[in-house]
Amino acid sequence: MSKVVEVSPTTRHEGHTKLVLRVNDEGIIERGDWLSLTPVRGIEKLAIGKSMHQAPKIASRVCGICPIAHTLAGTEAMESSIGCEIPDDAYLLRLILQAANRVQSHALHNILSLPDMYLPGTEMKINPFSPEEPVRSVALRIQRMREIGQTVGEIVGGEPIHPSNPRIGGMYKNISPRAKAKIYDLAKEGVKLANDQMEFMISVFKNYENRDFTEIGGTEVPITELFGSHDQGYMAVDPRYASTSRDDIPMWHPERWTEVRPWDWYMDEQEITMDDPSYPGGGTTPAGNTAWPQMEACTAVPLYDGVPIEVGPRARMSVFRNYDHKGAMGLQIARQMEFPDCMYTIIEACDALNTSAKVVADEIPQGDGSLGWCANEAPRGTDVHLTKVKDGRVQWYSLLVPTTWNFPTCSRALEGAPWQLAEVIVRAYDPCVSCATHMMVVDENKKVVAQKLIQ
Amino acid sequence: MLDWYAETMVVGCGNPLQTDDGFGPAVVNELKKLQLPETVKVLDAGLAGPHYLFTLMAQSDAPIKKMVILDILDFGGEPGQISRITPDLLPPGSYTDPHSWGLKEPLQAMKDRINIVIIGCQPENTDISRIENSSDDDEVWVTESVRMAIPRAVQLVLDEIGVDYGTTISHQESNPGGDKTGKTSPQR
Repeated sequence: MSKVVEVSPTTRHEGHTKLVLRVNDEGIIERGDWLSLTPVRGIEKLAIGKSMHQAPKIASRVCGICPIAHTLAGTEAMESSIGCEIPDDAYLLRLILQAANRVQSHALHNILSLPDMYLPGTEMKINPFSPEEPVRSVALRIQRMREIGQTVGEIVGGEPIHPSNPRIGGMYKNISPRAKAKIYDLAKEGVKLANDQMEFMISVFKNYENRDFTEIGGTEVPITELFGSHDQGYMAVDPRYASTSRDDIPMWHPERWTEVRPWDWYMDEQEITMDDPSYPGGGTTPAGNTAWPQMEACTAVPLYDGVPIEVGPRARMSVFRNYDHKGAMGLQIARQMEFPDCMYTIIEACDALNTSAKVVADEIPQGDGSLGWCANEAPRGTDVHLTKVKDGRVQWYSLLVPTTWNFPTCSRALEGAPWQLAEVIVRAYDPCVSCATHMMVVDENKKVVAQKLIQ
Repeated sequence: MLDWYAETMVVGCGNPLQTDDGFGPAVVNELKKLQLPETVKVLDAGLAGPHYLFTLMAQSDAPIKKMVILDILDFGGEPGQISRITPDLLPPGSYTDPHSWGLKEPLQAMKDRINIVIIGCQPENTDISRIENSSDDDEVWVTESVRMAIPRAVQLVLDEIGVDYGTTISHQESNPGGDKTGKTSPQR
């Protein structure tokens, strides 16, 4: 007889989500629903009628976790719609920005992942804030990588969080030769750190994967073989940067994308029949309460070829490098493998960058209303912005953000794992929930009163 | 290690898409128009102050001496009134990193090492900003009462960082937050 357990809210990731899990007598998840509770922000409607220059700036403010990805995806979606080709050196600056953002984001995620993990060869879980070695030097390395990512991103982007330098047609300004030398030095320093960090983190994740048990809230929980596996397939458009509709060979196809309402996807009303007061973070929701995933979920469910797919580091590795490591730890390991890549990307882009070259297109067309899109490989996965621009004004704008793609996929990956490990699986996806922006109708008390997406 | 840090950091926090929450970035926009000492860094932290920047600073041993945070603050005043507080007065959970990781309250971790001052403006409205389609260049959509508080906030920041532009308000002499409207008094 299956039971229902609810973990709400989930912790150590961005945004508000919860897990509604139907488990069997052994505590293994038979069906898992992971859903967003973060209120919508309405960016897509706000952008309509605005100038094409303003809309990406608005999109950047959708969330502070990957503002660079949103700015670049928004800008390039506009450029694709109007048919604007940007100079090569503007592209190189954007590439540097992209890599810097990925370093900062992945390094931060290390801190969020480590407390679940054990120091290899010991029975000690890792506290990333511990002053003891070897953890201390790992924390300092993470810190230094974040500083490098932040500094490089700020030099090229013009602002620490929401970059002001990218614009329709390229970049407002090129960087100085001194700034280029500085970025180069930082990335060279970063290569060594990135390789060391990758090796350390991979050893930690492999160690966890090879363990038989882990301890959660004072009980031993088996790490099952299927822990975090799914067979949903992957979607990625580029190992490092992006693909747009004006590419010779576009790597993303709008006609393969469909959407389902959460009402049609998630579980109906469930009575919670199992609880665990000793679960970390104050215990799970007490039995006797009800959960209603299909009503509470705040995001639409995007499908590619009719199924949910995974996006993110493992998807990029799988599509472009034949990487094949299933499970939650497979995803974590793929993320670490991107660290050195980011540093080399910055170095190569610096090598190729001409600091005297122009970075704004000669011609910036105003658009005829044709569809343009950009799929940017944000740290968490493919961030697709679609738009139609006519006479310089945005007529239509839609955002398909990474975690929205991953919600239903990760829900499938929960199946077969002990319910206590559901959060470990969720965290492997580095979820960022804020920017899942599809709209619903809510009344003053934030209760959902209409389930249809507003058109 | 001073790549990114500065001795004095002025950080505007908030989301301009939520009307008065754009106060911090709006004051930062004005401050950037001024000539400030090289030891001062003025940042628009937007939505990621706690997550990307405060946690970075909290774990760093960089010699940051002072941080001035500009944000909205519900202290029960009139819209546009400004209050100057220190992190000790913040209720638990303010500036929590949204990833809710181990360093939950980065300001609390920093406050003994760094002199932190928060200049908070009472908001009138934090709904989604009403952005006119014609306002192409605007990046600030705060209400009138908060807009009127921006010059005063600029002057308070200048006082905090020890820059005298002739119009700097010294909080020792005046009573920040005491001004009902938050308007800059023309006599000053």
